Amino acid sequence: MLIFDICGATHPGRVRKHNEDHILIGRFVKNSGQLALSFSGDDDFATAYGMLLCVADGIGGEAGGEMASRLTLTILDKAFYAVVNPDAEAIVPLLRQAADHANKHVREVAANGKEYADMGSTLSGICLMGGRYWVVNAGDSRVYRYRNGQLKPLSNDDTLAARAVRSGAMTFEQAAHSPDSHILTNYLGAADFSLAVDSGPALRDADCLLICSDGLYDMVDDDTLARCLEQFNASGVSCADQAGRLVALANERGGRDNISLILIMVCHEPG
Amino acid sequence: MSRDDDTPVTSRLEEGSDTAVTQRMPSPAGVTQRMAVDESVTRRLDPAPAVDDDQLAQQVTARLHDEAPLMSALQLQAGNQIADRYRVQAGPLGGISGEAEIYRCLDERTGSQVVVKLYRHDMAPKREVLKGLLGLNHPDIVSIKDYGSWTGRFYEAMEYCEGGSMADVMPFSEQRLREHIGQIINGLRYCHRQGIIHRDIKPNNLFFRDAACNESVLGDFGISSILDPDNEGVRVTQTAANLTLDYAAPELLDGHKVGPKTDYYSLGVTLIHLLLGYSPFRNMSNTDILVAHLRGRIDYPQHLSAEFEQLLRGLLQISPDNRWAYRQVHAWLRGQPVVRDDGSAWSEQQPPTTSTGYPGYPEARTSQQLAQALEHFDAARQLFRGDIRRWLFDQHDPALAERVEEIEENYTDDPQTGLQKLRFLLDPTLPLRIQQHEVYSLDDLLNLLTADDAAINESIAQLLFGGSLLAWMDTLNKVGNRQSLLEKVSLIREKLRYKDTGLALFALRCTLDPDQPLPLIRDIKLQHPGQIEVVLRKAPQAKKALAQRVMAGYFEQWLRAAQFPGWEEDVSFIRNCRIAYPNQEALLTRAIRWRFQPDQPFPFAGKGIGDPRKLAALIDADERSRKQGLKLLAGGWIRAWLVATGRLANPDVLDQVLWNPQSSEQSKLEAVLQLMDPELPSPQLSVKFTRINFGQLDAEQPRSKTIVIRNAGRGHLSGDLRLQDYDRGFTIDSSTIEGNETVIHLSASSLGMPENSRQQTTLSISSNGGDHTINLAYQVPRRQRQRELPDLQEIVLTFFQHVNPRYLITVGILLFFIINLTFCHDAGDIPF
Repeated sequence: MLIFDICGATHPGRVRKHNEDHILIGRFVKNSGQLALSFSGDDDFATAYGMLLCVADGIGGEAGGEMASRLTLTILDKAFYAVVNPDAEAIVPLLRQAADHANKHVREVAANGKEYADMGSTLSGICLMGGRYWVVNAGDSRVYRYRNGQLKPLSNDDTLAARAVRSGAMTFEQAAHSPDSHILTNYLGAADFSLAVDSGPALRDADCLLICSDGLYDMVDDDTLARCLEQFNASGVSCADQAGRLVALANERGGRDNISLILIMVCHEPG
Repeated sequence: MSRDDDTPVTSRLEEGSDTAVTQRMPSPAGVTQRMAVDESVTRRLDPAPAVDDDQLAQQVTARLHDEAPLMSALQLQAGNQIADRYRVQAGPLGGISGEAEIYRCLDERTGSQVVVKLYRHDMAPKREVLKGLLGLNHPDIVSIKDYGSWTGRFYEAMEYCEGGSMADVMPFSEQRLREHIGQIINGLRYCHRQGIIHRDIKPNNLFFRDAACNESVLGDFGISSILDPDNEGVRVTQTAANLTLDYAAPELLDGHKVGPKTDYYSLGVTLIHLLLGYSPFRNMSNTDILVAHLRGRIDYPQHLSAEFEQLLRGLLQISPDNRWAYRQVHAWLRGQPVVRDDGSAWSEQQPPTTSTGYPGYPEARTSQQLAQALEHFDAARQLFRGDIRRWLFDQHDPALAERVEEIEENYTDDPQTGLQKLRFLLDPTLPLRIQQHEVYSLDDLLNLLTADDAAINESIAQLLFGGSLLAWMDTLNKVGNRQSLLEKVSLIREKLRYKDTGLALFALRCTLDPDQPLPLIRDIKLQHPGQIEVVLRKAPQAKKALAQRVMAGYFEQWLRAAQFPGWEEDVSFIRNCRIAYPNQEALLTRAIRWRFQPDQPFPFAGKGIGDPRKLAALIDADERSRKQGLKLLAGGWIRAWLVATGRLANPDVLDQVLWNPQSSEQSKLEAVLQLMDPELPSPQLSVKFTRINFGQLDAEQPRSKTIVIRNAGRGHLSGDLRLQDYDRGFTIDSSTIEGNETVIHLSASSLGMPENSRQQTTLSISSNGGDHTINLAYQVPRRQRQRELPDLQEIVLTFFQHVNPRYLITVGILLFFIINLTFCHDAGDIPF
């Protein structure tokens, strides 16, 4: 039986006054502080309803960004958990419908208010259910899987640069330094919003999943993130401490954007 | 060049946020921008007229927090008037898109019904397009009646189509769809001749003018572009994220020029959508849709007629040059041969096989080139990040990408092996490099293995244990039964990794060529295990070599690789022999000879014995023969013969007897004799007592009794004794029976037992000669109680502790007077 140790943390960073990010853990939507929990793979809530763990990074200015990311996660949460005992086969359409519902609300508010006219939000996360999980993504927040020192993005960035890389118009090197690397091609609030939902590769003992906004990975590159997780795991640092240290590291390196992350540590149940 | 020409792709909106692309870093004009650090506020570079209505935003926010229905208060109601002319009758039609609301209205000037599209505050269509279409009455195009601004919002009034959109009545049959294709392409041709590219052909934008759904018309030019005649096309500077990706032609996505044929590609996808009743890209992510367009991976409806499939393939050509347009579709409709624009015969072009370079090493454009280039960039990192898999999926072969994903998942703890595996996966034609040799086939490898060169063998062993050999073998397509071969080699790698390299290479050689013989000495080789006796008879000197092959594991690997009949049982037998009797070469060799020639006799007392019963009888004959039997049994010979030749129906029972650590060698032999000859008479247990009563038993006087256990039959009596209760004061000095006369001392003691009680239990004897029970008992007597006098000193001390000193003094004075009076009276003295 697998055990999931989870900790979500979100912080405005060192430059911005407001936190335009939100995180969703289970049914809690937060945009400050930390929240940790632990549950087993056969947990009755996670088995019956699924455990949603998401990061939303708002765009469209202080008010709009915060509103959009909050709206995204609260509507997603309500729409997703409105369905009791969904089949595993029904999870993908359910996630898409819930996200579409959230998108519709974001667009409605954006369409009728000057203050919120340009607002939108990224959405990245996972839905754990039984022994499986699904990775959801729209925008440039990310879901990573860490295993044996290797950090593997499970989500594909919806950015112009990523699109250019996939179509062959840019190399990785060019994309990394391109101003297009944060031009979103898909997000909640876009007319053609579409949530990518993929079944995640099977989890193993000692795997970690990391969901984060660009405020983390822009400050702490993937290689450093992998090294941090390797060191933390080797020295037995708790999930909550690891999340806290990653936020601190991003702040040490500038903290130029809001920093949000959810860390999920997977282990076999002792005994 | 005008601004529209610079950014035509985002031309749905005249100004401001004309694209769903949102930028977080400085970017070219025309996109919504969020400055990374110093300007976190959304900045419009070219603001559109907007409603100055902060209250509205507050109202929305408040409603949001109240979780009340959001939009109803913001929409126009029936009876409202737009631009002092259009009276709202119904709407918004089709919900709220976030870009515009659509209402059915009465044009109060003309009295006709119109549709009014009311754009959101900061959006507007291209005026050049509307100008071109205004007042036009074309049978296949929705006519634009009017446009303008109203309360800061742009509106567009157009012809009302009574039959609704084609999306409302799909799916279509091929036949019914065919009836409308002519009208649609006529509408497109007209637009294109006017220099207008529609760019948003989809089921929702194809309408029926009449309620009977006969007249189909093209509508909604919201994001249409004006062609630039100088450039013969529209240059796309950015990907248009707000166009509907499902219908987007490849040239819209990869930055190439768009033109009239862009609309025909969208028509192809639209036709599939109309036939299916749903988008062929439903449930696909934007990225996957993008890849599907760029790589020509669109699923066609099942049971499609060949004729319609040709139409769809023509419309969905990736290259606009080879894509069908009006001329080709028109010819198709009339059943005429389809020719290219240049008049040559049309033929389908397969999706491009050449790809763009790998983004981590752009010089590599094919998987083979990437295989050669792996050492020139950080390939391991990019492999495990999924970058290589993604490129393969997008640009080459999804099945190959899937196999790369297996490496990503399973080799994180061994990245170098994963990389080797990737190399051969990317280019299966790559040779395996062994020293100066390039190995292309298993035969090449076998030749190197049989050459028996130390350096080569060392290299092969490294490749085997490092995983590269398996990775290479995995790519050999021409090998029959590849999976089984891979499993065998994996097993060799796993089991022999830290053992003898020579053995591992021998196992590999036999696995690659199961006809390999087992070499013994010089020219003496075994082709088949059944030849052992023949070979040893001819060359007895090979016996030692055979023993060595067996001891070192070569024989076992040879059996395993060749898979002779019953090899699994044979391997298991040899393993058990080796574990049970380590380092006994002679025994192992003999066991193998018995195994593969079961009619071989067992040598005993100068005879060759074939029947286990006879052997049992000979061993049981006398003390000397039993001693000999004991020796053979302890050495493993009897077991080896019985098991190897299959003379025992159930060898497990034999092993249970032999591996019982409690049993003596004699008792094991007796049990084995019984197994060899079940009719052999058993020993017979003989015990004199059935009941022993010790009577009254004082604690100070324990008693004992001698019990003699005898064998009244043949063979070796063995067994054990057990007291049912150990807390009743009975003990025995031995709990085992060995031999034909065993003397046991039984003791009984009542020490600690409750007085006047009766203690009893049973002594159970179980043996190979039968079982017996003796009842044991004794009586604990009542003890005599003696009155104990208290110690004088204790009395004195107690007295002084408990008596008041004043009383003592008083008593002392009284005693003095009494004594004095008594004695003085006698003496006649007066005391005072």
